[in-house]
Amino acid sequence: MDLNLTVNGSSLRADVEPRTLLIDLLREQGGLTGTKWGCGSGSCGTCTVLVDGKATKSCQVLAVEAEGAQVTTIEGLATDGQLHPLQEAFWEHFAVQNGFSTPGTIMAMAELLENNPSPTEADIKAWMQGNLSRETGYQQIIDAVKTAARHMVGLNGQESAAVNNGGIGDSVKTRKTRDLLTGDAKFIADMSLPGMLHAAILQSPHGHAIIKGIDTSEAAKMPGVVRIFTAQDTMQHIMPMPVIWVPPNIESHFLPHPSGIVPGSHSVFASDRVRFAGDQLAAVVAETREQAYDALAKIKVDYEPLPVVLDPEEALSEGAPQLHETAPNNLMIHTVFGDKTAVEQAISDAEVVVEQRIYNQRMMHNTLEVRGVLANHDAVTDQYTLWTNTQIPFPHRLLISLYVLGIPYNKMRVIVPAIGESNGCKGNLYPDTPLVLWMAKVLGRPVKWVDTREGFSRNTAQSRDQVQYGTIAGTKDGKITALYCRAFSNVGAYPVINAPGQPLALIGRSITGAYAIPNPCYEVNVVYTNKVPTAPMRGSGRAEAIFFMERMIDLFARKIGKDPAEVRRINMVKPDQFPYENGLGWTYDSGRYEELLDMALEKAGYADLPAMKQEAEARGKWLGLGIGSYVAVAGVGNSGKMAGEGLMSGTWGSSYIHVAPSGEVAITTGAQPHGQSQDTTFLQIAAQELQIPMDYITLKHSDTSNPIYYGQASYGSRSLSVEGPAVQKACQKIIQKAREYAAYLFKMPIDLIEYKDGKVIGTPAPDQAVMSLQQVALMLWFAWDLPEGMDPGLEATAYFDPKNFNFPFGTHIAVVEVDQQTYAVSLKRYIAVNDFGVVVNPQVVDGQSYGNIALGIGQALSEEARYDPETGLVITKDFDSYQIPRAGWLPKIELLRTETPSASNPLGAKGAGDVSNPPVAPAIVNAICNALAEQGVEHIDMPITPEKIWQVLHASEPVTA
Amino acid sequence: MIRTSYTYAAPDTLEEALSLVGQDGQQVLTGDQSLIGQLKQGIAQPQTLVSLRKIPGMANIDATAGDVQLGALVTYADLSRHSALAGIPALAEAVNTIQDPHLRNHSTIGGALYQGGPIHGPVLAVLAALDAEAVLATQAGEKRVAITELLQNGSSGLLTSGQLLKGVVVPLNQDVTCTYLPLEQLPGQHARKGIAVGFRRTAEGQADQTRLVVAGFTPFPARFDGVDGSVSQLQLEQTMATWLTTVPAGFQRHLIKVLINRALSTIGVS
Repeated sequence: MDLNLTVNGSSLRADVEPRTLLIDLLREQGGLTGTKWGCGSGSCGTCTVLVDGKATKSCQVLAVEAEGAQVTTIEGLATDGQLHPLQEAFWEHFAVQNGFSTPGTIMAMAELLENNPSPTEADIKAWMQGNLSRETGYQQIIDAVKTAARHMVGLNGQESAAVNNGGIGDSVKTRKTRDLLTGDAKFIADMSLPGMLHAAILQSPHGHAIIKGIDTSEAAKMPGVVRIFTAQDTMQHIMPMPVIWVPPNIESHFLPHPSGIVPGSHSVFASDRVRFAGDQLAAVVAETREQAYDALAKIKVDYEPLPVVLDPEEALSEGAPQLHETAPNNLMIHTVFGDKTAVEQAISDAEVVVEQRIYNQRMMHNTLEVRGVLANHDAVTDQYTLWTNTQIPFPHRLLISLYVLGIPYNKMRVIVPAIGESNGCKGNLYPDTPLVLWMAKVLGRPVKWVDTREGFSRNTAQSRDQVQYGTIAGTKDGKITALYCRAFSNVGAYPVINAPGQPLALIGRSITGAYAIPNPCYEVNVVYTNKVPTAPMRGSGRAEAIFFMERMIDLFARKIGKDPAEVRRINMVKPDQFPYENGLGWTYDSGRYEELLDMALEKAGYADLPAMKQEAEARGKWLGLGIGSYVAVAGVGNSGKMAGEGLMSGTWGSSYIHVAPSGEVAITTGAQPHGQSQDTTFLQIAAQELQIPMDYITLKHSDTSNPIYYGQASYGSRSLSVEGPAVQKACQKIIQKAREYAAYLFKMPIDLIEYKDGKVIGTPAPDQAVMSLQQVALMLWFAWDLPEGMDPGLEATAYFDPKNFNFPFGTHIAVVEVDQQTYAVSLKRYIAVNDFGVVVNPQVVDGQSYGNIALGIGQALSEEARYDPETGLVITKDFDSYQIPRAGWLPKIELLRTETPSASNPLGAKGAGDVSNPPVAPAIVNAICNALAEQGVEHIDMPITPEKIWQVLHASEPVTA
Repeated sequence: MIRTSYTYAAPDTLEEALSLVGQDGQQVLTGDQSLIGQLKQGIAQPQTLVSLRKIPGMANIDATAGDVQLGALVTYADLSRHSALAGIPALAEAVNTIQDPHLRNHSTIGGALYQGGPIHGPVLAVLAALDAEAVLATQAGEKRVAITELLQNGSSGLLTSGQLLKGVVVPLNQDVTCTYLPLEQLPGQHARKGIAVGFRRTAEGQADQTRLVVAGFTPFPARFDGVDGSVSQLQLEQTMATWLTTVPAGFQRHLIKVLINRALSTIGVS
């Protein structure tokens, strides 16, 4: 149908099908890719545009219905190059992290401010109910909207902490943010290449089944289909995925890998049997994405369903369906951390013993941006290029070239475009990725695959899912003497590349949290089931450990009738105990655990808790306060220690610095930003070290062809404290060379050469013997007169491998109310006191904390991947069935911070990206259990929904759905 | 991505629309976003989509002394801004349980009756409690049907194929009190579950002609008749067949009892 509408003031004429959605018209025919496709069901709001001034989720409107309309997209919001006040305010208030949800949120807020020039915080939260953010935690967005509103009516906004330039400790306005605000940044779904084909991948709808046959004949005849691939085509060419984490000296059961070097995992296509609903069976490559999916629906697969096993304890039991020949009884790994015999003895000797079964539920990362791949192979040069939204580009290059496709490392390049949040799920190598690259080579044309939301729910790793049987023992006066956790980790049908990391070391060595417990033990069975494979998720491992510890200590305090805060104080590691060996393998670096606990309690008005409860009771509410104290290992390396855990990779930080003859500095980092603002924080480190303005420095990453040996990437709160020092060290090397060169030119001993304000200065004659860094760079580029042994040029490579991890810590407090009739839970206050060591950019770090807290609230109150017990199919396939926290769920988060430097790195920094997630869920669950204590409730498994509370309080009533 | 292929027509007149709506495989589109969701999921598989957007007057709100007429294309955003809503506060309360601006901008009165679902529950419940009527266009002229009567139709839609909705008429009656009581819940993308309670106060101060309509538990709101202080297990179970399956039925019954008790205490019955 012929369609005519006005988009951003210009006429757009297009020929569309009646089924074409407005989003597809705008993105594909209008080329306006600032409007993002997120959930596809009108839940997340990333596709919001204005249609005749009205906020409209363009994925939920037919293009034909917009005939004659005036449409404004994010690209049309700025006028004459001037950002809209909302865009400016988002930038000023650090409301942009990865930026994927930014355009849609801004467009929705644009309508709000048009209708309501002075919205209250409540108005803003209400209007934001249609826009999800999976990483910002909303607070900075709300502040930004308030400021924008004031600016639009000519008033001053809420003061922003942002400064344009600065060093360590300054909230410098984030770099590389403008294109995220204007919609110009290209994410993987926004990319295209000439002659590009589109792929769709068929997933099994059965959790466990024999494949009796695949008929692609009808699909092959569909319009636009170029080729259909199945296991028949790939078996001889694509090796299975590798596993690169093999715990030493422990019996482990993986799958074979033809390389013989590493164990294996699943193949790109299942050939004889599917083992989870999501296992891949075939791919259609067609001229358009729609044609590829239309044809995919025509592939017929003859399945013989087999019994599924979804529970890890059942999977270990006799007679359970068996997943892999190489893993008898579905066991991947069984191991013990700590001295089990001593712990058993301590428990039997204890005055008080408390036991509790805890299920840390299966979570979905549910990033608003799904995964995607664009691949090209140049037949002339035999060059492979892969664009994908991964947080580990160098490992992709290495693992795909070496273990999956067997192609030269030097012929492969991986580029990460603008990337949405990962929450950990984009840190894995998925079979779809090498598949798309291989198909591009076979077909001789670029191939692009971008997942669907339902596809994402089945093929992208999920997380957590651990059953824990806990025993805590101690004295009647509150001293904990032993802690034992017997765990069953459900890792799904296949191991991901680093599968053992989370259930073993990250949980196992972390379960004692902030406490000195003389006898700790963690015993784990890592088990295969017919669920989607699991991978780390923000807070990974530490979240399961801290939840366990913080619940157990609350139960212990309750049993002995003591104040849970006091029991924490009694057992916390004291400041004079550092470095502190926790008995499970971690050596805590520094901390003031009790001090932060007391700060949080004071802020929460803990002394007034009985009065608060009484006041709530009068309103028909049960009020509760919960504490979550934590210590979270961060800053992965040291490489040797990680090798001891089984990781078959180094974990050092790396950087390459280059000062051009113009004086401009370019630094390549081994980090892979995906919303953490390293483009800003690393420049702050470099600017402080080099004593030059930040704007003279560029940070490079996201491309394996950048001048760096290898990047170990960003995960587990490691970037600032491991890759950051490598940047600092590279700058120091540059300064050292500049001083040596100056000493030679000025004919002075190097001790008399000072580096200050971006200049080398001979201190005896500071007015004559002085050169700027630019002059030094130019002279070294000329290299006309160099001292003996000095090379031309001003560049350096630096590595940093910390001797130890670092251990951020803190205490969070949640205050909740539970309605006595409906059991609805509402979060009244949330106080977070954190210590991330030395902080480079406070507002950036606050943004990370807000995001961690929002995610923890989701785990505590609503999020859980649910499966059909018969078929093993993921039921929570969209954002209606999987509820992600919205702005209205959150009270104003109260953040406090102290700085206790870490001795593990020269910056004194500790991790901040995901470490403040672990205390969130236990603080909230402890609060709910505190609220319901008088009703006899001791524990409720997450997510704590009103129906769960009802079930616990009315245990005798039928609970069938 | 919508997998179903269909033809699309946007007639200029009601007459044209009527002739199209009379044909097999048609589905009426009133600008409501719920239908797009149903098309994506394959729940709706029309051969022809008949959009009413070009027919004059379909998005009008007309208030008279005795009633308020809402066209099928009236959106909840239109409704929330219109002065006529001052006379029907319960409708404002129902609309206010939806916070997402897109849902307010793209949910229509027509969508409530054709598609239903969790977004439309509160508005439909209030319309039913107020004894509102659907105005249907037929070849023989206009026909009015009480919304409470349509609610008996079950779960697949209040209007059957071939019926063309012009709008809804809400009677204005000074003696009638109506309110929507939403349930406490984490604010989500959908409207809040709750109960619409409507009644007429007698000269003696007693509540009479009580209407209790529960929204959010079933695809379309469920009306409880003859409730006088308590609701029987039987009454609750009679509507079980269509209840949402993701939450234990016992808990849903519990919440409905809570809502009914709150509604009854609102009108002075305990």
